[in-house]
Amino acid sequence: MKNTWIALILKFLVCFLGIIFVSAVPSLFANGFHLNWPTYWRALTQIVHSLLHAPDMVYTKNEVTRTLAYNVFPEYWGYYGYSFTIFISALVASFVVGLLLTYATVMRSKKTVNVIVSILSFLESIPDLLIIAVFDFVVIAIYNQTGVLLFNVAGAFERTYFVPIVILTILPSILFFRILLLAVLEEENELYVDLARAKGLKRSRIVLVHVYRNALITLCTHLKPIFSVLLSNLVIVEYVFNIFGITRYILDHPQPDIFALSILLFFIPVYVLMAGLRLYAEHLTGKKVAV
Amino acid sequence: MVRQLVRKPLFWIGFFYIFLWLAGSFAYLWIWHNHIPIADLTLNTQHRIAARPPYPPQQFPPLGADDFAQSIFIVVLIGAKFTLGFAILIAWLRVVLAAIIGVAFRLWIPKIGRIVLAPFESLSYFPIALLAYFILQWVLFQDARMHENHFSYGFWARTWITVAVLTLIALPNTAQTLYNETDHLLQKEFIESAKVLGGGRWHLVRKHLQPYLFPRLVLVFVREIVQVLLLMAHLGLFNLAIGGILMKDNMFSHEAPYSLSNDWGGLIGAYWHFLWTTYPYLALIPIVLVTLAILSVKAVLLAVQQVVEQDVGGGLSKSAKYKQRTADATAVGNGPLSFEPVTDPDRQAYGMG
Repeated sequence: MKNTWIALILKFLVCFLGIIFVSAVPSLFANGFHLNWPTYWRALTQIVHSLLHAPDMVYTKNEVTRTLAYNVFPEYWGYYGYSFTIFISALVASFVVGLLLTYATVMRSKKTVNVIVSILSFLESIPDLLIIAVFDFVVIAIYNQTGVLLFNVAGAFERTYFVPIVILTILPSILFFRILLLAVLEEENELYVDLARAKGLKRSRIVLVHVYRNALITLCTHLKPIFSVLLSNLVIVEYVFNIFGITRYILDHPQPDIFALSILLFFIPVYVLMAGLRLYAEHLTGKKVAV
Repeated sequence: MVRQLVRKPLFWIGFFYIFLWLAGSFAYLWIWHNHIPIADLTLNTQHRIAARPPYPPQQFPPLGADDFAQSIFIVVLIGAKFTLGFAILIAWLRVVLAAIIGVAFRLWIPKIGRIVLAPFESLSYFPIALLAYFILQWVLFQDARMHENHFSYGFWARTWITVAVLTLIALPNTAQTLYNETDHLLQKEFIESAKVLGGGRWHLVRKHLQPYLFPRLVLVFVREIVQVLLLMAHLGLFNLAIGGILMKDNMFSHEAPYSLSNDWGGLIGAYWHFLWTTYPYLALIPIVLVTLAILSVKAVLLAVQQVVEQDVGGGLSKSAKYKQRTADATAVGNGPLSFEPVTDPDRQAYGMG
């Protein structure tokens, strides 16, 4: 347990520094190629300085005659809070959907389950763009035919929650579903399942309590890819629907420190969540998990 | 491996879709020199303009005309070689370079290699499309915007810069995966015996690691193609395409994005505004094409996966096979790739899986 803590903290620090180093890279390519050390160093110091003095962070805007500086906070929290709410809601929703669908499928025969797994592996690679475009297309088609606008397809200042969350939920829930399904199938062959069955436990109880608990470990190792899918989908959804979230803020103020801050503010909670899950899984099962 | 692969129908379905587009695209380049038919204005009996592009498919078959009056079918045919060709090239570069780095780091400089790769793990917390956008947006878009539609770099220079960026951006994570994979293989008993019998590092790579690593590399390669296609589609939405995008005046004298290579990703961005016009389905054409391309690559991936499972899974128990499938489940790229369960304690000495 102690080793796990040290590894987790070490990895957190390494990733934290890594994010700062990577966030400074785009400045080498802004308005022409400046592939030199001073440019990189300037971006790096700007990021570190801004993070150390976060409350006084500013973004600059070039007016005709002078350069103006505006405070990032508290305006930033509105953008960030909105994006993060969508992100977390989609994550929780897709996890729940994945769990429910898995529960509904595991009870079916092996053959059906195998067919479902192959279908899912195709479904999960459908690009988010297709989902968004078809959604827009249908909403517009309905509007053209009947004059009823089901959803606002371009957001701007009005911050809508329902549509982005639903669209963001689709792909991760397919991923969750498939991974959980395979993890559960993998656990089904373990001896303790036979023992539980022999003791006369109900199948639903075996799956819900014992199998899910062990499947959690497999899930832990696959959480990171799901996060990256969700994160890149978030960027696309925010951009396409033109909603005023974190993506819009980063694109409007392309500064290395704002970029680094935004990535860190997503990384920290996500990492804490994954680390917590990992510790919990280890506590539950006594097995070691790689994050 | 190849012999088993050609028996899989899934492989042929996927392969043919990609192959037909590529072959058609190159044939059009060599025989018709990429000539793009231009749609005429539609005049009525009084010689007045009755309609003008964009046209729907039924009016200008087979796929309609875009707002520069170009035949959409020919445009996507020309773009196919850029989309599919460069996706395959970038994925290949990623895998080859990552394999060299991963294996060499593990065998020759295991400690330094691990420390060098560790901070790059942070890349998986970035939305890669956004990072790539910031790196590429000047050379592929902003540059021409600021200099009267004239790029400072030539078409192929821009293209190779794009290829380099899209390769390097995913390289550390792929290298980390293959580093772990090599690390895991080196724990095997037969490696120990080979070492005892005096096998050097080169000998290990060629005789003992290669037969195990190669099928995995093929798997990673096909998986990376999907990733690159997705990334290109996302970048296209931000108006970044291979070869760059210009803002030109269209038939209505409005500025519209005009893709220079017609790669499908860029067309997604360029055609997106059709959603708000009379023919919204024109916007779906490049998206559907990319989706079908991704699904075909996925079909090839599944076929390869089945072959690999048969090959190395022959001796595995049923439960170990399921574990393998779970490990392959996240097609996102940096999922663990091992022959044994990922929960194996010796794999995570440093806490990185």
